Amino acid sequence: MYPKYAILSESAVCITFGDKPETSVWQQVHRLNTCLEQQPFPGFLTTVPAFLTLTVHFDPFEVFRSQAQPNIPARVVLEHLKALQAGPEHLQRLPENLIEIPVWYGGTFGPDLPETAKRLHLSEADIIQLHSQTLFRVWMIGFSPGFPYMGFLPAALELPRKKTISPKVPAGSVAIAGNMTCIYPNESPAGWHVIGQTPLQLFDPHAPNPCLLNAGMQVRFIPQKA
Amino acid sequence: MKLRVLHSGPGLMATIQDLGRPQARRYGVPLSGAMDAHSHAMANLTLGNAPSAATLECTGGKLDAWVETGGRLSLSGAGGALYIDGHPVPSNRAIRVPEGTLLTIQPLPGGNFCYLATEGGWAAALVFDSAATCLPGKFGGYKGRVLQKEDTLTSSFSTVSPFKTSIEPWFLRTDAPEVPSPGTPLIISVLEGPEWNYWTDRQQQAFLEKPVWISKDRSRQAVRIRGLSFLEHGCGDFFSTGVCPGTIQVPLSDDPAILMADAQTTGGFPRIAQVIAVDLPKIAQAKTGQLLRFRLVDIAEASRLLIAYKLKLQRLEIAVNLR
Repeated sequence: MYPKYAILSESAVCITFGDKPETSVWQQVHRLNTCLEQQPFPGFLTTVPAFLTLTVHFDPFEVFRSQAQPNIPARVVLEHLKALQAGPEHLQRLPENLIEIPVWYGGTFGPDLPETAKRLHLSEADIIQLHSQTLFRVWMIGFSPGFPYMGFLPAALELPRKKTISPKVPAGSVAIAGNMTCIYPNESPAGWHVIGQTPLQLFDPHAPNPCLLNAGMQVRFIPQKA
Repeated sequence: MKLRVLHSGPGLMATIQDLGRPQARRYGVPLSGAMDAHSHAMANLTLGNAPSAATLECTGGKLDAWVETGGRLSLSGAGGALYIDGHPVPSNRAIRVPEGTLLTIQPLPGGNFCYLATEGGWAAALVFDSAATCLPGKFGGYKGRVLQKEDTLTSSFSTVSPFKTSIEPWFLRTDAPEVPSPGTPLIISVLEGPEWNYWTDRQQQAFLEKPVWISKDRSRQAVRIRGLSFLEHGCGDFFSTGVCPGTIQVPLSDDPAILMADAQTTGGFPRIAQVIAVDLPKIAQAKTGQLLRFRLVDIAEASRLLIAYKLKLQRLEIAVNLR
């Protein structure tokens, strides 16, 4: 059944490795990603690894020109990926580095903390303690530049997204929704419950490594005294 | 060529754009670039620029600018018309504009976007190899934002190549955009999306047969489509995955959206279909209320159309540079 190969557009294909986010699925997504980085095809542009999928973007004109016979670029790319997938097995190692993220919880930094506490039937202190005691892994970067999806929250903190989106939260807002936590790298609208804020810059388009966090990294939140 | 913005009319959104930054998607960075990549390319080609040179994308309002240093310009796209000192100037032609004149871009009702190109493209620092303005990330283009009064733009070329002249209008005639009538459905070709089979045969059929129309909820990130409420689904447990401009996402409790240039790199809703690349400029230019009709094509047809289009652009580029 898995992997499932699908064409997304004339310039992208999407491979699905499972139906729920778990370590073995993550490892397969990143195994193929690593293979592709080591053996790219002419016209390869980039990949977007996600919870269950690896999306591969390419320049269809370059792929077309690399072929001796006229061929459909997306199909050429799928064949390349199937060949890589069939290659020698190797287990994608999970990165071991741990990043500590300082957070000011509550007050003006976490405007949704009181409401979140009420809905979860917990005290604000309980939420801060549960959130900062959990070791998270960055599952993927997506949604906006440098935005990390980190999981998983303890069951006691799981809560659906907000019904009404906050039109503007500041850069560094730390938020929770579902079984995930995130940090908004830029000022943006937010559908997650903002419980705190970090002073760290998560994304710098001019830096050699633009994202502070990358998929696979481990993260722990460190409560700061206001 | 140097322009200074004198006045930007209410609603104007003018940004530097090119063909975007595809390689930065891994960092969650939107593609960005021109909403109507075809008109962007035409404005460039008529000046002898590469299709990737940076142009000024204007939408939603009137722009007045003072020409501080003269040079050559070309405007393309159904969303606007160019005036020099109040005189209308044809689109899709290289125009020499003298110093000390007033340049005006006036919105046109036939579209949403127009593109002002200059020789060598407008100068902007490259971020991830692109001059495009990334509004969601506030970087690229002109200080990562829309143009304001007193901003100045300069072209990358200071000297004018005497050998590059305009394309004769007859050369472009076959490319003149048809201005669609809002009441006649615009035919938009789509590929089956990866989640096409989430929907029943009957829903798929309705998606291809029912009249749908462009919502007023339009931005550089997405254009919402009305009339598709029959696609309602209970699929809340969908994990974020890759999307790109042209992807039609069906959210749980909102109108489906066609993702556009500034779309996020990943989305958390099923992808029913994908607007083919050569039809995406039509969506960019379609006005609120425009009727649409989706037509299913396969990847072979979509790829053939895209490659034929790219070859046509290359031939145009060669033709201009040989003149």
